[in-house]
Amino acid sequence: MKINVDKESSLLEVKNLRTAFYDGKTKTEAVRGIDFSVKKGEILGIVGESGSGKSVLVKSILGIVPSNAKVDTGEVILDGRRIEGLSKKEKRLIRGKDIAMIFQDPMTALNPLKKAGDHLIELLVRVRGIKKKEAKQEAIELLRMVGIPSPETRVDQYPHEFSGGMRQRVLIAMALACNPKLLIADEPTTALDVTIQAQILELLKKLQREKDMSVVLITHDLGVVATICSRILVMYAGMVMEEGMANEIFYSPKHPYTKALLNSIPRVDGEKTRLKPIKGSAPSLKNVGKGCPFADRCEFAFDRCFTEVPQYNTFSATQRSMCFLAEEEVKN
Amino acid sequence: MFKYIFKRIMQAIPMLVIISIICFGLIQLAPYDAVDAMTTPNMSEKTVELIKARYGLDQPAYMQYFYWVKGILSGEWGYSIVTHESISKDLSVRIPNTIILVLPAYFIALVLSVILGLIAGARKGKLADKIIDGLSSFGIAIPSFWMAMVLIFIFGYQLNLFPILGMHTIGSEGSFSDLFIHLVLPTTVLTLSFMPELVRYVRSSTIGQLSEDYVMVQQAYGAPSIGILFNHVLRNVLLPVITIVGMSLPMLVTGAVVTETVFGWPGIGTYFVKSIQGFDYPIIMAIMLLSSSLVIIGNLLSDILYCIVDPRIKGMGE
Repeated sequence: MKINVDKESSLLEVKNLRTAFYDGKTKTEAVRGIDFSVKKGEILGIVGESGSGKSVLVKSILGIVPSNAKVDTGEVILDGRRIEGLSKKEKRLIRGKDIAMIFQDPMTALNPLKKAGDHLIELLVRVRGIKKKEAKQEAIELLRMVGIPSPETRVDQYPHEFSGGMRQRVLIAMALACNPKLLIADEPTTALDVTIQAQILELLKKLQREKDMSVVLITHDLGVVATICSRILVMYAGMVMEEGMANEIFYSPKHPYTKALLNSIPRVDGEKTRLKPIKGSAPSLKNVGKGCPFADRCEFAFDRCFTEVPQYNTFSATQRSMCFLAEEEVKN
Repeated sequence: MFKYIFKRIMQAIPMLVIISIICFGLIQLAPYDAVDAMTTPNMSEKTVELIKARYGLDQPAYMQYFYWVKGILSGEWGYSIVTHESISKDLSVRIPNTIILVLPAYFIALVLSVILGLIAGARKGKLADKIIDGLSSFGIAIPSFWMAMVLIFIFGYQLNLFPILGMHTIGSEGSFSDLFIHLVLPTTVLTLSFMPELVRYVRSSTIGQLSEDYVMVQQAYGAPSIGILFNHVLRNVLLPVITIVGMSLPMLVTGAVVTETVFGWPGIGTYFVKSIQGFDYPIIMAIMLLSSSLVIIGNLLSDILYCIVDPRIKGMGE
């Protein structure tokens, strides 16, 4: 089914996605009606605190939510194809072939009893249909491409013989093995040392350019986003608070939450000021109120914020924000 | 790896020595005199003294220990008080009888348990799991002697399909088919009594493995769930099963005491029960020594196997 011919530049479109966790009769909505799109060849950053539903969002897109969670509504359109309309098998084949994903913790993401190379070979045989014999050579090439030294010996080593950074490289190699159109990186650097983080981000950026993939980078680290993302989605409590190009988000944020986030990161330039943490903690999704999810912690909140969920205000072709306050009223 | 195996063997030896000392100590404490097994009440005191001297029984305890160990190592396990037969000779007949009963039963139970456990674990909470898990709980609760009697009643008595007692029909001792038909019922009972715990173990291990990150990663790359189960999960599930298999080694001797007794199987089990009834201490001690040593050896074997199979341990100490 080919739709949205006019929006040819967007690779992935997600409309009104809702995912909830079910525990007996209690329903906890982790993703509450999210719309976004990923354009061809861009790096989109999704930022938000822990528990804001970032990971659940992308897992819902891939269809790999945990067994106690369910995608309730939502439309996912990949390259003009609606994913819901596909059979179970076709959906499965999209994973890997069209969308590949790298995970947060490289230490546990590989099967401890399988060689690094076997992980790659299995994928090359299944997704790309390469013969097993040639697949090993290809696996070595992939390991070389992601910057693993002496890949000829590394290919026959087990995951425990790799460091965290090297394992993340193996996982990136797995993603590349599938030649995906979209790479989702779910906090790929959270579990790594700072120096390794920079290397991995650099690698992702380089590969994105070489392979002309789109990348969705999930992180709670605004520094990471600033390094490589062209567009940013700010999530809070399962909703998109603000969306915009990187410079719009960093230099003219419209949503109080985005501003609060930016105020809470240290700056190396300019005058020394105290960091302003956001008061309170991320809301429990078990009992969400009627209003704006951020209202409880927002320093600009007024009565209406607690009773009604705001609509999006559009500020430019690329920037929108979910807040009642117009730009002028939100003071810095 | 060899360094690890060597180290492990070196650790097992002192354990065996300690076990032998404990067993010997218990033999010394037991209310019998080893010489009783070789004498008759109407022997003269002098003859008894001579026999004692010949076997070193007139020496102090620590010297006797060395004689005893030497005897054990050279296959001299002492004599039954009741029958005056050589224990090692009896054991050499009885142990193979038990092994042909226990080994196939354990093997069948293991294979079935892995299959059923994997199915139950992979379909957690679904109907298949409920049936398998439910039957396992049932199986744990059923005593094997009761199950043996029920099977004997149905298949041996009412349907008259299988013999209910012993190992051979008199007159056809060499026939394999005769042995096989005698094996069916006791093997079934043993298999069913070994299975429930193994099934539960494999099931919970499968459930644990399926919630590991690497499974989610494989899902994210579009691996079919059957492929994940057999290519990735199975190995990780089987690894800890090795430990259980190793720990079951003593079962080759004492695994079928009840079943053998019910079916009159001429194995270690009946031998053991008979010796307990007759206060035949040398035999009880011999079997105790044997089974406790097998615990140590079984542990050693499973450690060595683990080391061969698990790449994470293989790399250690290199």
